[in-house]
Amino acid sequence: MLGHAAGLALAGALVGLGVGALREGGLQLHAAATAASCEAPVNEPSVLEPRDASHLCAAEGALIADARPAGEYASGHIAGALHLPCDASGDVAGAALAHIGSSATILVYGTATSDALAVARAIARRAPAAKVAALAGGFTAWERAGLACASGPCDTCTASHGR
Amino acid sequence: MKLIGVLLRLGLAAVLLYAGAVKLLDTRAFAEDIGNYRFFPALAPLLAVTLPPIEIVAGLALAFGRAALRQGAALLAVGLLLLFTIAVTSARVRGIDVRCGCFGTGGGPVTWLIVLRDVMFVLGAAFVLFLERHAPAPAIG
Repeated sequence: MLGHAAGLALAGALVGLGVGALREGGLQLHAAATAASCEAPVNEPSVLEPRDASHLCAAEGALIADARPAGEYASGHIAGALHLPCDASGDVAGAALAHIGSSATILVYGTATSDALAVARAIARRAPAAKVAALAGGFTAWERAGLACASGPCDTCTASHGR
Repeated sequence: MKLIGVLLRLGLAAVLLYAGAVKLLDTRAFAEDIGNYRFFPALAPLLAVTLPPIEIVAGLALAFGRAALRQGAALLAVGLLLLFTIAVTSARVRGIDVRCGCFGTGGGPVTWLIVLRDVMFVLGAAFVLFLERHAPAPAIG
């Protein structure tokens, strides 16, 4: 009896492998495992060079967000950028989302690429419809490229982003 | 008693054939369902490809096989249904909300009712196995 059961199971498994191999696309024994993840796929933020990012300043529906500490923001930031009030990336993302509203594109920058990218990812995860980008090289790269800067405390942090 | 045994056996065969066939139609969805159980996600694609035909083979053997083969098929059915029951029970116990995958994508989410139904299937299959083993004479089929 056990032999028959094992034989039937083996026969079924072999038929399955055979059918699987004959099907369109062939056997994909590993592909589906990753697709079963619960977490929604994150649209990976793009990394933009300062020159490429600069057109966002004037773009309709675009938001530039500064992820650096308030002191650094006050001493110099991208013109029209919103300062994200917290420095923990999770809360920064939450704060950004409150301001983002209907913004289609969000450019995040920090002191370097990496810190902006971390915040950008957090925002992208929570606003999957938005196009999120991080500035390559951080604010220093922007400054070095001679692009529009401003200084002073953020006047849009408490109120909504005035545009 | 003999008639009940035959009806139960054919009923079990029909359940296995149907369940196997609908899963075979959409192996990808079945693989996803297995993966969502978070039991052995790496094995999900392999199980998705092999389990439906095993169900079908077991169903066919139960319906049309000779006595010895039917016993093997009944044992296999008990094993399969036990596996499914453990899977849905563990999903329920762990509180994960997964699509059952029992009868293809139309199976709905795993509920305690489904656990109960699977337990009934196991008991039914075990009863068929018992009857097959203790059948005084070869039954029709």
